[in-house]
Parts: sequence; structure tokens; C-alpha cells
Amino acid sequence: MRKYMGVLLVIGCLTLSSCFDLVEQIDMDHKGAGTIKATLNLSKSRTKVASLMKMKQFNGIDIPSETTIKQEMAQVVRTLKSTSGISDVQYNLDFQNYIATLSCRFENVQALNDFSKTLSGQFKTQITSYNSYQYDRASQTFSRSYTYTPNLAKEFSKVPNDDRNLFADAYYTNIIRFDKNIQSQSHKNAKISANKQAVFLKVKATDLINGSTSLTNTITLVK
Amino acid sequence: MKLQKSYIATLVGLSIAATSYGQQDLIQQVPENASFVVVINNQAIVKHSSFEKINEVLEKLGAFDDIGNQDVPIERIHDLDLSYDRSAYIYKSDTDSSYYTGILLPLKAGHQIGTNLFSKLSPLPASQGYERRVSTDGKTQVAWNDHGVLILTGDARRYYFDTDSVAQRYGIELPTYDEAVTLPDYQYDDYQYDVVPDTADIDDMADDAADAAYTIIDTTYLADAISDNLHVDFPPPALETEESLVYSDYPVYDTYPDSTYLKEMARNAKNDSLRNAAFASWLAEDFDHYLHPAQNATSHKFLNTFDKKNTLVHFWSRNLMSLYSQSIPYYMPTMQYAFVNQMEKLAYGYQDIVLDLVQDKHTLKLQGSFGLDKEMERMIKPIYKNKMNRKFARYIPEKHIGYMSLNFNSEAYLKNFPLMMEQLYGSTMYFAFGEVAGIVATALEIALDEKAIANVMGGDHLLFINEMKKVEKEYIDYQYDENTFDYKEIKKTKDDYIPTFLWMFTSEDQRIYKKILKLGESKEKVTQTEGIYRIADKPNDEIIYALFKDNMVFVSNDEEQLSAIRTNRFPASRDKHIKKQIFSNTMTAVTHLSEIPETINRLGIPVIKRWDHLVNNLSAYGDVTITAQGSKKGRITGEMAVDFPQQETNALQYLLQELLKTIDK
Repeated sequence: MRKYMGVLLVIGCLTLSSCFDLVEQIDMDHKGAGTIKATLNLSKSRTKVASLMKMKQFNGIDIPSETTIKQEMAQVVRTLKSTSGISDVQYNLDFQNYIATLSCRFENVQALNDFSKTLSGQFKTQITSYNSYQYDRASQTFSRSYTYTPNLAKEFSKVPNDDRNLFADAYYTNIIRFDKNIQSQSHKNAKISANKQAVFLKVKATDLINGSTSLTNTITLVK
Repeated sequence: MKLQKSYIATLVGLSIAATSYGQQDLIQQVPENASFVVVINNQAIVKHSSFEKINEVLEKLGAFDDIGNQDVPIERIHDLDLSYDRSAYIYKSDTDSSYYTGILLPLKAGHQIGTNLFSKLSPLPASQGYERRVSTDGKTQVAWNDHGVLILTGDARRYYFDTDSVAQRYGIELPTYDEAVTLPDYQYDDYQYDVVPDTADIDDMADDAADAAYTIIDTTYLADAISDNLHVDFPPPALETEESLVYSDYPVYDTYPDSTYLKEMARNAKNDSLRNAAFASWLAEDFDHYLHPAQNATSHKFLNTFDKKNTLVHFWSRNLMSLYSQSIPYYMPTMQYAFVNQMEKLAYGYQDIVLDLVQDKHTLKLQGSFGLDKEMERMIKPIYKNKMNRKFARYIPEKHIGYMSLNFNSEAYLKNFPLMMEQLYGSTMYFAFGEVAGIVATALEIALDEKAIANVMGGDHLLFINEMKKVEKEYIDYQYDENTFDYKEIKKTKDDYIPTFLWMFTSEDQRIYKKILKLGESKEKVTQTEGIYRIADKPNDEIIYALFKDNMVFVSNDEEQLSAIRTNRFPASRDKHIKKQIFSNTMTAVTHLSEIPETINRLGIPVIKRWDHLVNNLSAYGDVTITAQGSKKGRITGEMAVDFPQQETNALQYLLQELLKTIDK
């Protein structure tokens, strides 16, 4: 993840407007099982990404080739498929629009955390040390713990001052849907859908990087 | 790298140093048989730059660190014993057995070069007014008088000693590959081969072998066998490191006591020593001929013909073959590879080659030319005889990033192509194609209707890269349903920039193009609107447009431009300089460097950090211009010119200043 965050930072430097969107969607039933789908959309920076991918390295950051990305993704999928509680792993890499999606089914929230752990291992970063999920079936409470990590800020600090502004329109979107109504959620910037079964949170990438926004949230379902 | 930089800097410094002392030009001492000669025109270099700047650059490159001695330190170019007002020469001469590199440097009056530079070399008897020295290995000799110094060095050619007679003469021990390798005395008949019964069941054999190798240990038995009070301290398991993964039983090659290898090394060392001794003796014998050449290089017309006021460095080579032979591996000519033969055939058509680095105010130019032999000129001259279509002048865009023009006679090219092919491949010995090259050439001559083909594409082309055009590009975004936060992909557009181009060429007979486009129309890849063809193979592909007007074909990715051409509304440039370049040169390529930074920025092309400064500075530059002229008076000429920023007095001063900044970093 760190390696690719480096690449994302580079892409961010190169673009003048919304450079990328990272959308994470979790659909969970009241028993704690569900699906997760993560989408990285770089289509708005398509031209620039295409230029970048023609290079092997840019300012000290290795740029993965299409083949490398495919191999890495295949490896992630293989690992996920062998993770207990994870099934139906699917992925798609669109090198025309530069959109990557990865989805799978999880049997319980622990498997969801294992999903993150697998990604950590693959991309050699500690996602699970600062992000994890819990679900208390008894109290019908789903919570996400998020601790700000200085790693991203460290990578971001390598970006020249002038270029940091260019990250202004990169967003992280998180959608969590349930099969029951939501009673409450604790994040001040998140909103509950009209049908009261989904929570939507969209934050700026820069806010995440500099720690001014957290992803911690506690969602309580109606019993 | 530092040493190499320092060495080069020293050489440059030595060749451009100090005071005025009017003496004969050292060109008299450049031998007539030199393969190539580099003339360093000190007067022009000094005139166009400054001692202070040159001194500063050389000092920072460490040029003075390795020259001089402790008693007489060299700190500035003024401390060198060299003269400014005459040129320095570097040449190379080649023979079958060896090559020599000669460096001729003008000296100032009252110089002490013997003490200052050559004190460590061994003295030789003086002769004819020259002090002489020789290096320890005998492979370099030096001689100087009041006016100049000759440094002559070189080496023997390895392949010269590969023939038996020569090897014998010099005591070289050639490797003999047909020697039988002596094997240890091994009695093959005593070897007991495993007797395999014909009816052996391979599976059973495999099972038996596996059973023999794998023994299942009854651990219960073992546990009972081990005494209860047995204490054994087992060391902790070794951590697997990279070193431990190395298979240590395999001997390292360098210390492997192979007598054959050691013999080979000893033989090579001995042979090298003999070759060096041979070369040293040849150098001693030939040195006087180089010091006082019977015939000097002034007989070569283009060696001494150049703009003495503005040419900084002048390079002359006897012919292309001389240059080519410097670059091929030493063993290739002797092996007579077919490729080498072909290259030689091609190379012999070209005669002397000249390259000049010229300072022209804020422009630095690299001008080159090479002569053609009669036969080559006869083949090539008609190809360059072509008139550029004058109507092109009506369609030169006002704003562009760069352009390229090419003008050749395609009819003449097609007529001469079979002849050139036969020339090149005709006598090839190793490829079967060589035997039929002549037949193929004749068949082409018969089959091709050169005039008809030339009517399709005359040979004059003009291509402009225009300024960036704003276009709308699609991208994928998401639309969220407020009710469920389900999202779907939607296509949005955003402004983007793409470079546009305009290509035009003469075509008297446009039928084939129109027929191809008609076929494209039937396949729905091409559409036509008011005479402008729109070509797009796939939906996401860049759209190309084509237009036929008068006897010209226009191709572009900007429909507006073609539409303006069609309706005679095209705003043409009135720049006479562009027209002159396009119509008087066989080939022209121009890039307006000042447009590059904005182009890169708009296109979003990533720029590596260390190039940032250079790219940003480009806005202060002028043009890079490359031109070439076809055969004129038996020569083909070309030029590459760079217009530098006008911040300093001239281009050379600007370069030196930039070099100082780079070194400081």
C-alpha cells in the first residue's frame, strides 16, 4: 500500500484537478457477514497516468508496469482466496480508464479484518494497526477504529510544497450498507441514507493524510 | 568518472592555454596519412569566451590537480606552458599492425614544459632541436622545441599477431585449440554397469529405491531408547541468512587450481608483454617520421578549410571507412563477416567527413559535410533534385511548436533504389540473397513504374506541430443514489489539451487514397463531410481528418484547420525565414524550445526532478534547427543549431556559465 501510495502521491503531483477517487463499499447483514468492494478510479488523470506508466521511475519512486500490476493483483487475489472467511474474490483492472476494483465476500467481521491484513502483507504496510472493524451482534453495533498513522504524512512530506495543493480534489469515499435500519452513527461528517440503511462518508485525501479527519465511526442498528 | 572528467578537462585545458608567440602552424606536423584530425582553434575559443571563465571551469573540474609537480604547482591556465594564438591538433593514424595517437600543442616562448610536465619521463637523446622523452613502458614518446610539443602514443593491434608467421616472428604463443585434453587414466572396461533386466518393472524399481531412501522411524522406539537423564545442549538453529544459503562446497572459480586456466593466464601475460615490447620498438622507429612527416596533412583540402574566426573545434576524417573501422571490434575485419563487407561497400561511397563546432553570437552550430565518390554522387544527386511545392507557403500556420520538411525526388529514388540494393547486397558471400540481388534489382526496375508512383507521392512533405488544442475528454465518475447510496458509473467530460498536427504533401494522382477512404466508408470507419474525411478505427481512437485540395493531400487531427484550408480562410504565416528554410533545404526540422515548458505542462508530461531546471529554462531559449542539403558539388551538408538564451555575451559564455552552475551543485 505504501508503494502504491507513493505512486498515488506522484500522480497527485501531476494533476491539476480531481486526480483520483478511492471508493470503499461494505454491504453487511445483521449477522456480520457481507461483501466489500474497493475501487480506485484514476480515469480523470488518464492521460497523465498513461505518461507516467511509460516511465520506469519518477523522482525516485518506482512506477509499476501494467504487467507488474496484473501480477501483484493476481497475487493478492490468490492470497485472499486462501484466507479463512473470505470467498468469491473478484477483481477487474481497466487499463483504458485506469480503474481497479477488488471485491470479496466475508463471513464475519474478523474475516473483514483479515482482508485488510492480507493487503497489509502484500503491500508491506500496517493497515491493520490503524484501521480495524468490530461488530457486536448482541448490541447490533458496528464500529470502525481508525488511528492516524504518520506513515502517509511521511510520504506526503516528500512532495514539494507547490504540488501538495494539487491533491486538493482527491477523495476517499466509504459506504456501509446494512439489512436493518440504522439507529445512529457517530461520525460528524457522515450521513445516513434516506432509507436509513446506509452510511456515507466522503473525505478529502489531504485531510486523511494530515490527520485532520478520522474514519472512526460507531454505527448502531435498530434492534 | 572523476578521473575521466579530470583527464578530459586537462586535455582541453592543455590545448587552449596561453600567450601569444607567432610561429608556424603545427598542421605542418600532422602526417598526411592521418585517419582523422581534430583541430582545436584556440584563437576562436579565446576570442568568444574569457580566460577567467575557462579557468574557473577547469579549476572546478579538477583539471589542474593531476598536472604539474610539487615544486611547480599548476593552478591556472596561465601557468601552463602553452600558447593561445595557434591551434592544437589531435590526430590518429592507423596501420595494419598498430595505431598512433598524436597530440600537437603550441608552446609559449620561454616555456619550461620539460620540467613542469614531463619531468617523470625518461630522457632520450635530443635530436634536430627537439628535447625527447619516453614513458616507462615505452608506449609514449614526447618531443618539444621552442614552438610546439608532440605527444605520440598508441598501441599494437591484437589481431595482427594472430597469424602464425607474425606470431612466430615476435615469439607470441598462440593458443592451440586442437590439443587433446589429457584425461586421467580411466579403465572403462572395469566399470560395472548396472544390469537392468529387460522385464524390470520400472514402477517397482522406483518404489524400491524410494523405500531404500526413506526410512520411517519408529519414534516410540527411539523415545524408549533415549535415557531420561540425558542432557544434550543443542545449539539454537542457525538463522537462515543469505550467506548460509550459498552452497559452500562449490569452489570459488578464481582460486580453483585448474592448471589449464593458470597456463592460459601466464600465456596471456607473456603475449601482452611481447606485444607491448613490439609496439614500443615500432614507436621508437617511427617517431622521427611523425616528428618530421615527409608529407603533411595540408594536402587535404577540407582539413584546413573552415571559418577560422568562429569555428571552435574542427574535425576532419579521411573517409567514412576510417571512422567506421574505429568503432567495430578489432576482430571483425579479419573474420570478414558479411555484415562488415556490406558496411564497407556502403562506407566506401563516402569520402572525407568534416564536422565544425561554430559559435555564431548566441547560437552554437554543429556543421557537417561529407564528400561523395563519383559513383555515389551519380546515384544520389537525382534524388535530391526536387522542387518543393510552392503552394505549401499558403498553409504555414502562424502559431506552432515546431515543424519538419522533407524534399526528395521519389521518382529518382525509386529508379536508383535497385542499383543501390545491388551495390549493397550484390557481392555478399554469406547470404544467399546476395546471389539474387541483381535479379531482384532488375525485376524491381521492370515492375515499378517510378513515374506513376511518384505521382502518388511526389516526395515533398511538410509537417507542423501546432499549439495545444483544447478538447473535451471523457472520464468516469460516480453518481450516488441518496436513498440507498448505491452508485453507478457516469461519464463526465473535462477540458484537456492535445497537440495538433498538420501534414501536407504533393500528390498528382490521388486515386488510391480516395479508394482506400471509400473502402473505409463502407466499413464505417470513415465518414465524409463536405470533402473532409473523418477517420476513426475505434470509438476511443484519436480522430484523423484528411482533405484533398488541388494537387495536395492534407492530414490533420484538427478539423477546423482543414475546414479553413478547404474554404480558403487559412491564416497563413508571413514569416519569410520559415519559407526560406523550407524551400531551400532538403530537410529541415525546427523546434521552438520556448514553447516546450508550457506544452509539457499542459500535456501533463512528468518531468524528472533533475531536469526541472533545464525544462524551466527552455522558455529563454530560441530554436533548435536541423537542416540538411542534398548533394551539391559532390558533398552533402547538414547543420544543427541551438539558439541559447541571450543572458551572456554569446552562446559559449552562456554554456560555460551553466557548466559552472552544474559543477557547483
